[in-house]
Amino acid sequence: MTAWVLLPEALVLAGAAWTVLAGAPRGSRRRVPTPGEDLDPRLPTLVTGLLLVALLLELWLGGSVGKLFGGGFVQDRFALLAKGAVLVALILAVAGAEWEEESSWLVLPMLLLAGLGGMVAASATSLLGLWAGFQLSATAAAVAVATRDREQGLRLLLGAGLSGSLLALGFGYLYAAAGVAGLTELGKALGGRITLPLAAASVVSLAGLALGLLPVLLLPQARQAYRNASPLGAAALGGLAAAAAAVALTKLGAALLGIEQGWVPFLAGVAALAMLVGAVGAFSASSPRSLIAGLTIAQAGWLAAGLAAHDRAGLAGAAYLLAAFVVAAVAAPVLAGPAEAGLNELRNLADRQPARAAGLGLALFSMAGVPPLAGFFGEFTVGVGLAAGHLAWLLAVGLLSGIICTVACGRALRLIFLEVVDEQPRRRHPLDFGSSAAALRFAAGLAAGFLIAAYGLFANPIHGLAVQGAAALGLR
Amino acid sequence: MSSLLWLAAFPTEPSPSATPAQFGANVFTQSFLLSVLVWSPVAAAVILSLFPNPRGRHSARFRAAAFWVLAGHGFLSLLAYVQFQFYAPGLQFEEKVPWLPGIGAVYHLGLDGIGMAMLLLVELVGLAAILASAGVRERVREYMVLVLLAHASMVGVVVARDLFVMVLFWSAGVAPLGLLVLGWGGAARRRAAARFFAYWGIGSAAFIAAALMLYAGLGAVGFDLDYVLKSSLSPRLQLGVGAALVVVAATRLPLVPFQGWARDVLATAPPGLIVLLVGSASRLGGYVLIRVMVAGLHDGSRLLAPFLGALGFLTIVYAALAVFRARDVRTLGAYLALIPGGVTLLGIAALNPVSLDGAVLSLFAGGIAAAAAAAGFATVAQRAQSASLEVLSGLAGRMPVLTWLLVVACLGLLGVPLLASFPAYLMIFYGSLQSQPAWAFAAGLGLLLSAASIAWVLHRVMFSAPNPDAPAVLPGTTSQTWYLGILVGALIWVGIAPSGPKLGGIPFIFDPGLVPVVNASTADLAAPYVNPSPGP
Repeated sequence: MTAWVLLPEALVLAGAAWTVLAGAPRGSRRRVPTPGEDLDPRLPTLVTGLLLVALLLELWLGGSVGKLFGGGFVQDRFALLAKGAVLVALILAVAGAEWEEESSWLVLPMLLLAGLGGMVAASATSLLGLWAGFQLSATAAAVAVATRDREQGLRLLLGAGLSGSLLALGFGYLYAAAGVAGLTELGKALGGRITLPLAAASVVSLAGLALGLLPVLLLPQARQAYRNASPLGAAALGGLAAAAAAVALTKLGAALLGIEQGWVPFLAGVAALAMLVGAVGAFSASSPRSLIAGLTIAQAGWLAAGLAAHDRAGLAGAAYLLAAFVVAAVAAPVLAGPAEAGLNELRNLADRQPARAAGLGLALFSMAGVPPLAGFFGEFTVGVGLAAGHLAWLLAVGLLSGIICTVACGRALRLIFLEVVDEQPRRRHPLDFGSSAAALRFAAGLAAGFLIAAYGLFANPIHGLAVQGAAALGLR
Repeated sequence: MSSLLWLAAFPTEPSPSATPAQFGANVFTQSFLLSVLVWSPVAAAVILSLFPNPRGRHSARFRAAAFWVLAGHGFLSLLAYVQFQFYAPGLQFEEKVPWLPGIGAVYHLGLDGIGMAMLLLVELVGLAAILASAGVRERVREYMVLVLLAHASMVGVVVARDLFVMVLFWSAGVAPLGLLVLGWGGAARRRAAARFFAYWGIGSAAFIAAALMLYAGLGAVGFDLDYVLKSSLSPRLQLGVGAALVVVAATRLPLVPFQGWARDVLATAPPGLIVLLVGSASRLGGYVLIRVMVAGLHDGSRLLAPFLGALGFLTIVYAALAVFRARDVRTLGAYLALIPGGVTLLGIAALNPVSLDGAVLSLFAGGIAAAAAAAGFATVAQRAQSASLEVLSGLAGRMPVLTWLLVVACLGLLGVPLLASFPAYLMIFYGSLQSQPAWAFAAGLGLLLSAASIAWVLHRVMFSAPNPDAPAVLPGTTSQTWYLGILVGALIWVGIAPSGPKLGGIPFIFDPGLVPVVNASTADLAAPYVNPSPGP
């Protein structure tokens, strides 16, 4: 394996640096723009192109397996799956965003950095790499939220710092107990024993990651921040940062599989709580963002449930669901737009912007686990792990959550597709978008819808990749 | 239709069947017919959704497109029916491709006699539903897209031979049907849709749970029914899975105490949606019970049989009594539509070849009769501009064709001779008197009560003195007559010739006969119950 495999990460990082330096060229091109200045309308198109190149490179070069930097960076099937999903989500977010609605161009580099954090965690081979990836993603997401609501963003930064500190503390204990920081060596060094410090270390680490995976659930301020964030800020927080936490959790879970299952009840409890709280939140939602928040939490609960299954089937299911989750959780807030006036703002969306409506509708249903969409396939494979792992009670909670989430989505779907009574004649041809940004948004909506709907069609290769990824993590 | 022409272009082999070659025989020598039947409505729905419909200007075209898609489907299914080899063992038109090898899920489709009967039902009902939807004026594009998606999901359930695929299609039908209720129901549509999602969601969750219990119980090997149904499971697990499958069936057929959605939804849905829901979507509950529980869980089925008999009896009696309490004809039609489900369950509970034959045939006949009755009453309410029983009376003179079609449909609910439900009910009662005599006798009394309630309803609404204060009756439309005519015509056709029309003992036209087709599979299905394996 050559260092060319790092090209996707390098391109994302370069994209972030480039957007910081050249973000607002309506004024002078020679200075760093200040937040609040308008974004160059060409920039999202260029960044989308850059990300597409990064995705193609990931799919091409990422097929090789090996380590770089003396074992500090790994490229395996799990990394390929996770990084591919993050890049697809980034493309959909950048292409589908209504940039006029964003309060600052700074959100774009922060979005890219949040995605980069997930990619770093996916290729990490040690506790340090996991922590760095997770922390980068969480911090960038907090800053992305702060571009619209500075106070909420600062509180969120505090939350990110708290979860990062917990993680660092737990990792420190683990290192102290095992004497090694490498994920592969960790399980072997711990020798299958579970002692009180080790149990505490595991729980503290997992708590830190759970805090990152479910920030919207565990911190009321974060819930408020998610609702008030710009669409891209919400995508960074609810999609990319959560994905980075899920990636880190998966890798840590795989490393700890060798030891006793002392932390499984904790994770199963968190999963059940997330499923129920998310479903109730979605059911009582009065705005699209609240609905998406609820659905995101509920599906994050399914992710945690897959990890709680504590075997290869469950973790493969979680990895398979992760790809579906990150695409839908990033696409949904972007396609819903700011929608600050409540659910009624979605009324008649299908007639106004059909591609966006289709993408949003499918993303919502996917997060609710409605078949035959991506989320259902992922949740079913997690369910297989739960059934095989004798966690029937958790499966029952998940199914109940799915029913509630489906009912909750029904209302939004009715507003989007079925509230059109007086269909207005179109003033222009359906494919006459008026601007390249609008054309890009149309394409992003269609692509999101297609990916979510066709996920099951490509279930064989994607799930195969997830199974190979689980094997690469050294699972049973 | 282009796929048909393409298929017809292939050279065909002579039929191994001993029966004379008929029109359409040997058209399908390729094994992708079932995929075409499942996915072509989805493709049509996607294509239709891409076309704009400003101010409903192209509504008629959308309606026509959906009709012709399903008409083409019906024709393909009819050809498959003609080509079906009665006495060939195993599945026909089989397709098998790995889908999710990591969990052992296979894209496995196939048809046996039971599936063939259900496929014909789904296609017939789909066509009737489109015709019955002629009254839909708002958002016709969206309506037709959802109907096509729901239709595809039902075909998928019928032809699936892998539990994962079956669960997938089963659950996939909930969203389009729920959105149809939510978008085109009457004033109470939100409450109705919420209950619909809740009940059908419970059914889907129970089905997923049952599939996963089987999967885990069999050592996490796979979901293929060829494997699952031939494996031996502990009686305890069989009982658990069987109970979950009873919940699955009860939420759909529906059976007491899971009938709550039917009253709300059927009282508010447009006739086209009622046809779809009652005619085919609901019948799939009984189909799954036969396909999975009866076929694979022999000990569980035996243990649950008395319970199923009781449920069937309770459903019939509840429906008959509830009719007397109804205050409008739509609710009344909803209650009447419960009767065939109860009778089908009695046939399943009896667990012998004759009763299982009858149960499958009653899914077909009962589905048609219930759809015609429930949708017929909804159409009566539409034309009479009122659903209230206080207002409606003596309508026979003002809508004679609709009246007589409705009378035949109601008689179909009771299993009157010369209608398709007659041989079905006859076989069910004959079979169940052997193994479940108490429940058969009780269900017979329930049917008598149902007959009394139907007679009361028809007399009051149709044949009593007209109410001079009632609103004027709107003129009927051709599509109303056609959709009811198709359903009632099928009821009569199968009733007159359940084994297919024959001249001198030889089939002379396209219908090889529904009973022989069903019988080809039920004999194998019932064999373990007739000759139980010796104990240790």
